[in-house]
Amino acid sequence: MRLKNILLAFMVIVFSAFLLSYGESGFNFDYSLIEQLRLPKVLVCILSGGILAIAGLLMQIFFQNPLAGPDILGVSSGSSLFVAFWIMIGSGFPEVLMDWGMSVMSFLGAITVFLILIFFVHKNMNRVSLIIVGLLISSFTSSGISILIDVGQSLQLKNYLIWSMGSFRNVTTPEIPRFTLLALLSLVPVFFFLKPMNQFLLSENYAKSMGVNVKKMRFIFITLSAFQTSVVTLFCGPVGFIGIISPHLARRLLKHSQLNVLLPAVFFTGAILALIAESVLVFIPTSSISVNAILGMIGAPVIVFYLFHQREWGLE
Amino acid sequence: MKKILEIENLSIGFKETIFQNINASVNLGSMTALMGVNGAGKSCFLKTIGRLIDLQKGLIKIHGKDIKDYSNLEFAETVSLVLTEKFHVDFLRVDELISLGRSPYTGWSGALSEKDHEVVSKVIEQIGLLNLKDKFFSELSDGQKQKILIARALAQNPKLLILDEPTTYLDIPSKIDLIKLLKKISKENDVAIIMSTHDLDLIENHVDQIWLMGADGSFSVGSPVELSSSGLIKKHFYYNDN
Amino acid sequence: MMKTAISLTILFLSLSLQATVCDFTKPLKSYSPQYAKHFSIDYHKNFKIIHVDQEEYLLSGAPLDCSSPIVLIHTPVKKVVMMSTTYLPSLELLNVQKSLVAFQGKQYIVNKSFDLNSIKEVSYKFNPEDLLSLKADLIMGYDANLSGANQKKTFKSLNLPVVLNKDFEETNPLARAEWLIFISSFYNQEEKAIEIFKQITSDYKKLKNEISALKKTKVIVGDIQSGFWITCGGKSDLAQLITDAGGILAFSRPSPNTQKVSLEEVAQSKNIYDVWLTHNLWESSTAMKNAVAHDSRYKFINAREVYNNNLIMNKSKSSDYWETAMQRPDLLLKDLSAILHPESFRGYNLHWYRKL
Repeated sequence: MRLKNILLAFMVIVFSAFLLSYGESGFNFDYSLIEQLRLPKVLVCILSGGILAIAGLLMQIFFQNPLAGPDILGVSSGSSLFVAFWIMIGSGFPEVLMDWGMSVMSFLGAITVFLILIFFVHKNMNRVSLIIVGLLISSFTSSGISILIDVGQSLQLKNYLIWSMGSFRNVTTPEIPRFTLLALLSLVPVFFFLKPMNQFLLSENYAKSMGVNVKKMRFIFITLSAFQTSVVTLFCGPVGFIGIISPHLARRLLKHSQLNVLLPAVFFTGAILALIAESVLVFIPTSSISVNAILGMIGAPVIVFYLFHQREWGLE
Repeated sequence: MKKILEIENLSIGFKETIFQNINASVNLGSMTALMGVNGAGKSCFLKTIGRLIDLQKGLIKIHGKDIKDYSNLEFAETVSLVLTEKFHVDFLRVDELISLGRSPYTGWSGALSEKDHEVVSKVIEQIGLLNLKDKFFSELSDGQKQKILIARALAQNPKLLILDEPTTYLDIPSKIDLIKLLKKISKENDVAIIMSTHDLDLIENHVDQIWLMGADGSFSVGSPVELSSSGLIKKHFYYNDN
Repeated sequence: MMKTAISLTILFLSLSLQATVCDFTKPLKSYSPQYAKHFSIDYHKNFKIIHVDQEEYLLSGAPLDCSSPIVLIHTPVKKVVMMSTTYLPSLELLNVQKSLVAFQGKQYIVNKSFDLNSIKEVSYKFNPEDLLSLKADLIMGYDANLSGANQKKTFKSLNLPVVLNKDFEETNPLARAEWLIFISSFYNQEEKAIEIFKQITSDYKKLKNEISALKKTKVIVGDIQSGFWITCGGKSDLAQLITDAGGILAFSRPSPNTQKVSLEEVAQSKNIYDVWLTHNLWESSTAMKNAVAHDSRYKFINAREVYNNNLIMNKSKSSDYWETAMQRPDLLLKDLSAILHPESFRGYNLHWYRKL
């Protein structure tokens, strides 16, 4: 299992090395090209992909739902809506306030969706219905965004449309430190809670019976996965499928569920998926295909495969 | 005989009270069967003892100490649970799952000590899971899963083991097997066991006492013989739901 | 017997009347555009038919009783609804701004000769009920809000005078301008429109000839969006204008549509451009410098001069460039020529572009 984790890490390195040395202009090692374009792209792929995957894993454990993920539960779209709202009202604000305000709003949007989902879970909603609620939240927020676009004026509208496409190339070199800081802040705390998260694998009640402070852990699960989703959504726009499929792919590859071993694998799997999507884009530079389209082509069949091959997916 | 659990004037329920005036006690190393018609509140009662649900009124004492005064870890080291709710984890090995029972005793990283490993292998041997320990939990039968969950609860090294309907999904031979196993555990480990069940015929020769939650709201305590002869069981079990 | 004879006569008469009124067979004359590819006008005795690709519209001054499936429009139109700002310059040239009773996206209108208070706002999607209540003589829009056969059926069944305008599909700058004649036909002002268009064409050609001798200038068009260089297609009207103004357009791919070019290609080309035409929101060189500092990838665009197309804006920051420039290729060509060859246009004040 350790070996497989190393293998995954190696794949991350291989894809990164490829994307660092090969681009739309072919194989070349022009310094400014690498510094300005390829390095940010690769870094954003690794961190965003990895973090989305971890967020998906946390949501799947928290909701005891193998179909949970940042996009499918509407958490990303909650982020988008709040950010859109901030862009609409904040056009005159100073740039620093605008940037950090966006981070905060993105997080608040994700948390809001979480609170709605938790409300339904407490009403004893079953797992499939919860997914449907998530999808409904997504469509609600996209309606909200269209309404905001309609109300807002052309300048802000343009800002928003650029942001909402979903791309690992949005982050520029000067923005990298802020992105990395937020990404690591959302990621590192997870490692301090591996034990209670493992206990949560057996459901919340078992965790509680083993002495876990469930209220505190709920707060940790929600805050971390909402924070992770919001960081990625803020910098890359909505990115689909990585969050839901990475935990399953990693678990299947490692044949292991305990988080001390699984967590790095999930992170690497998410990073690899993001890097693969970007690598495909390198070969079709002129098309208007987005990373989301490529991730959809990979992700949807994977989910269908799992639904077919797992008779008991715990969705009852 | 030393009392481990004492219950005084207990009322249980989620928002509304569903059962009240419960008075009972349990001795170390004894077996108690909780019986009652469906919907009487058996599961709620057991979860209240196990601190998954807050009690509404009255007092529950374990080792003479109010359960409200226990810390999370202290309680987990005294009481462990086998619940009815199902969970689904792919690729979680049986020995890993049982080891999770040691988590109240491990440090922040959850790494097992020498002693933890010892306890886990002892439990695996005692429950007879040696041939299953490398299998994945999700691939096993209901009977096997039930045994593994009991093993996990035992790894917690409890003084009180609470099982919510452990025999429900099992066939008759597995049911007998399981009850005998529980009997053995209670004697060997000096653990008090409380289990809810509908299978009177199977348990009556093995349990020390029966708690009966009547459909009329009455709570009766007695040995299987006492309750049968008094006609109380017949009264509250006018139907057989197995 | 008598009755039958009378009714037969009436029937016959009405049939023959109709036949004379609605004779589609041979138009008396036609207007075939010189440049535009997506419309033409046929003139019949009492009416005219406008073709927009497969669509046909029947324009007539008197009420007609044709049971044809063609949309009927009574000319000259008095009350019109429009869905795009690109139609507005034509209204101004024909001096019929007052006919505009409703518009989609009023806040985008830059042209000051329209009285925004008297213009109603209509929704982006065609809303039959809303439009019926306006009792308009003409509703002009484009594909995005006209799509779907069902919608066309709805318009027909409700007698909504909906007309499709395809000016944006034209890829030649003069072809776009020629849609002035299309719009003028609804006001019966074709003669005036043809006159104006002739002037635009000759001004354009004259200027183009004057410039052709000048030294060619390297031009890059576009901006960074989502990590890509978004630029105009090599077969677009803007590309044509830049060529005619004596420019050589970078990343000119043979397509009329907006192109996505990877930033690597842009960086790798290492060209130094004389002019960079941006369509960004920057209003000053400070704004540009800030943005470039924020997105350091802009340093790959090595350009001596930067021009933005937002010199004329309304209060909601809509640029007149998108509204008027493409309808006035003569003026736009002059702007571009002055930008590309400043030494030959000293003292010329740019119309749409601002220097950053």
